[in-house]
Amino acid sequence: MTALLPLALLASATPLVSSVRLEVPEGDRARLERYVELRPGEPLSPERIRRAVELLFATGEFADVLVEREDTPAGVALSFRTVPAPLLQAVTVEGDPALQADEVRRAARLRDGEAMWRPRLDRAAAEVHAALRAKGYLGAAVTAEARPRPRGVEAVFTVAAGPRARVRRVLVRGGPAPMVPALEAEARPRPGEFFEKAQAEEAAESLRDELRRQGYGRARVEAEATVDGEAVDLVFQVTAGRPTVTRFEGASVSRRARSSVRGLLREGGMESDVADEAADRLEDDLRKRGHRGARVTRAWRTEGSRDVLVFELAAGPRARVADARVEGYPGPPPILATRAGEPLQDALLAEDEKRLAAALDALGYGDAAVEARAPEGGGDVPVVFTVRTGPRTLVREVGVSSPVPVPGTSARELHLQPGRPFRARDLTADREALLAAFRDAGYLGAEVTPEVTLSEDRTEARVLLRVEPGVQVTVERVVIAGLDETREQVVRRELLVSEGKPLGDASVLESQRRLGALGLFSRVSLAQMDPESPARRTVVVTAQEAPVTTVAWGVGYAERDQLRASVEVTRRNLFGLDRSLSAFARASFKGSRFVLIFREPYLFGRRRELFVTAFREEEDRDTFDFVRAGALVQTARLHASGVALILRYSFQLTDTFNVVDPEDVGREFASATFSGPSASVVYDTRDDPFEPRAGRFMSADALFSHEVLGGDGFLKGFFQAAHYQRLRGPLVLALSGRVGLGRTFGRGEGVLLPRPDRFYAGGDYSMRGFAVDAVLPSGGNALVLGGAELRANFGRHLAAALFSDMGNVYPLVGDIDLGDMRYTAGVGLRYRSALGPLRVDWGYKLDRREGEDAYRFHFTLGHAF
Amino acid sequence: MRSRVLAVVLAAACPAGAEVVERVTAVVEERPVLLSEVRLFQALKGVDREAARQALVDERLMHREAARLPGTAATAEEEEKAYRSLQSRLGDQAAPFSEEEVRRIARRQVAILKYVEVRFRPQIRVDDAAVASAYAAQYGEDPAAPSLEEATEGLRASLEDEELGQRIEAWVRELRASADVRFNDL
Repeated sequence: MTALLPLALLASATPLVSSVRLEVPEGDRARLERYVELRPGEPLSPERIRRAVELLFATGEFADVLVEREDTPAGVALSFRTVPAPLLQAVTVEGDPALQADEVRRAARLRDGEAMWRPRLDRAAAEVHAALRAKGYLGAAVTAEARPRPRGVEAVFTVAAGPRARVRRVLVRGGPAPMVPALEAEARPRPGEFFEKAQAEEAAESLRDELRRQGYGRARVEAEATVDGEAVDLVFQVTAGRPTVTRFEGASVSRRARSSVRGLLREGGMESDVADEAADRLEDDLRKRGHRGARVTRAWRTEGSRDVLVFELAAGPRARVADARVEGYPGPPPILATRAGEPLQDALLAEDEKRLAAALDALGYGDAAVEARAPEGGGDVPVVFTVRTGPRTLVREVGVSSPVPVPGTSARELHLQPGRPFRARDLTADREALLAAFRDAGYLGAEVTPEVTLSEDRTEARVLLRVEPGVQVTVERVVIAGLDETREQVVRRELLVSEGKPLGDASVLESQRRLGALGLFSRVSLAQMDPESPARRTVVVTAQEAPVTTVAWGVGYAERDQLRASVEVTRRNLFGLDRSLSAFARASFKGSRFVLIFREPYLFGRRRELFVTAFREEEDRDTFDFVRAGALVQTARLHASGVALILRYSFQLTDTFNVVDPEDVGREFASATFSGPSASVVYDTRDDPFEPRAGRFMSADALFSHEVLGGDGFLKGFFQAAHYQRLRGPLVLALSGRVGLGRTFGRGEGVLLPRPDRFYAGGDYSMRGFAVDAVLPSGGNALVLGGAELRANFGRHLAAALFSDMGNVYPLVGDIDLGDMRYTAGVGLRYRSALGPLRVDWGYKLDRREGEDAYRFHFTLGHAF
Repeated sequence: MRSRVLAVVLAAACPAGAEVVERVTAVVEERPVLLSEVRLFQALKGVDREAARQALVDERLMHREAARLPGTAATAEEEEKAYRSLQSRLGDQAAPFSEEEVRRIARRQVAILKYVEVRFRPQIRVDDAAVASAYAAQYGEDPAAPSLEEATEGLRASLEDEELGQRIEAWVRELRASADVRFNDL
């Protein structure tokens, strides 16, 4: 036998692996083999066997992984046998149909892919049982079992619901006799209805609120159900207490404080802690009004048949700030909350002391002391903040002591710099920045200790940030768990943690964010499988897949379309590769649009989106109708600078008909084909795309179609820019400019673009003194537009605007004449709704021409620019 | 039941002469307790396989709790000391186990000991009456017994260890009651 063994095996004490067999479904083999690091011909390593079992187990797909060893003449044959975990595939209900499968899922919070071990099944059965009892199946019995299916298990709930109990009697006990009939009428469920616990509890709360509104401020109501076979007697046990009244004595109470206190007492049932909280609120209200010595006490009094909760308000004299001065501050002090003419509040004095101390610390006066002095009593009181600065400390030296290089460039980015003031907050920020840099580089146990040495006169500080980095942790393996439809590569390509690289906090968080942003998963987590391992750890990425089909619909309004409705159905994660297919339909009284979009998130293996779109649209415009169909391929790239580049190739056929003004037929395409490339560049720094208050938006589009490419020859460009600037108070200034230019090729000079492709102006989004497209109804090859709008926001929802628009549409580019512009101005109101700003504008023509209306109203959604 | 059936099926499917060298024997909070670890514990503690598995489950639970406390991770020196101690306990049974396997146990044990010292040790108080009572129980009227003064230090240490042991047992019971632990057939 020995003679048959290979020489290599004899030469070494460690036997060699002759074969490795992984017994898993064929479709999973390639994915799972990466976790088995044993290869034929290599020495047998128990540590690698152990590792393989741990990694395979970490996928969550197996209940057990058995490794069998068989010694053969060629070496050791290893076989990995897997026992699948009972992963949930489906939920079914057997027995009484008291609950549907979906209701069972919700009640037991079951999710596809979770392991249905016995304790989980028992817990699920108990939750379903509770749900049945809450619905009135008081004698229900539920059992749960897991039945094997091809790739997991089916959780089967066997329900013996029994009869559903009905309410036989409803009684209100213990309440004030005159109110009982009304309360009984309010109680739910009513006699004869099915008993539902949640409904009874809700009714108890409702009765309690009613009693409290009627003056029983300490009322309590409990719903008690007595079961008698299939009947339930429902008793609402009322503890009303004596009628209560709240009274304020002494100083006056502001309306806001009174309302706040009454609400608090009603909600809290006038309990003693609630009454104390109410007294505090009243005292706070008085102090804010300048009553520095205000005291509020509370007591219960009995007056005849009722109890009175009395709040005694001793306001004391009211003080007002006569003058607020800061003494000893080096330079102009910061703006304080304590101001002349305002009520004097001790709380604000304390805040201002802190504010001044913080400002002094920022200047390097770390030992500064600030004291506010305001003489006791009321009337006009002078306030003096006395500052004792102490020495100003400047940074003399800053150093970082670390046995390993400081990761990244953080050392150069320290807030503390020689010559600058020494600030405690900078020291804290620098310590945290260093700590984060080390942790992001895999030094998960790093410690940073600041050491500050002050000169004798405290005018200089030497700072040393001493780093103890500990062990740098690297990623040994990345295990992906929880996937059903999604392919592993979709997850792996989003990960910033990779095998062999440092395991940093930032890369873990960013990986989690990127996976969440895919929209494919309802939950994502990255956890360390072996956190006790000192230097090399395995990261387990667990993703729970979200539903793949979504349906969205909407209703909108725009001046051109009037009322319109849309629906979009999206099937995500096609083939498990994060591809998607969306079908979108929109219809209005003026037209319709159907779009089918296929999205590929990774083009040629790189993170770049590709969209393939097919569409058909038709529209009824004032001066013509058109039908258009086509397809386009588009890809986009977002640069780090915030500039997005969009490239596309389009092919579309357009038929124009019902032209109202056919004068220029012969100078236009009646039926047009577009075939060619187009590009857009977008730069957007707006703080909010729907309600911008600051930032810029710029975009440039260029389209080119040519006969060589099978289309009509024309070139079209459109550029727009908008700028948003916050002004004083609630004011925002919005400026906009738009230029559109187009020309045709191969048909001689002076041919107009197809009507749907021309430029138009007028309406709710441009030249608001005009109706839609009314500046030049036949449209043109050139457009110049400018606009300015001053927006004033009032509160959270309302805004008003003053605006002015100027511009014109010219038949041909050569017709552009900046001396021939139209001017409109107007006012508008906006209401910020959940759908976006609802806008009403009134635009007036400043250069009204013969036959034109003087003004125009517009009602629409969204801003003009 | 299901896993038992599968285990029987798999066992039947095993080729003659094949030996199971690794598998998942238990799962503690979704982390596996492997057969190789159970074998190592058997060798360390001189107990049967089931007792070793149960001890490993307890150790896992304790370590999980201990690892949450900052500063419990073993330093290189502590790990080395614990490793040498375990190696000496294994003696001539050490051969089948890799150094990393033993070190892993060493690191966990150090962390648990540090946690116990921080959490439980400071709470233990043995008063003089308890020492006197233990002295009486241990020596009675034995004329050869050391004086109470001489025996106090040793008795106090012994009582403290006893108290510590009780607290650890209670802690483990508490951990077991709230933990998610399941077992595969051995």
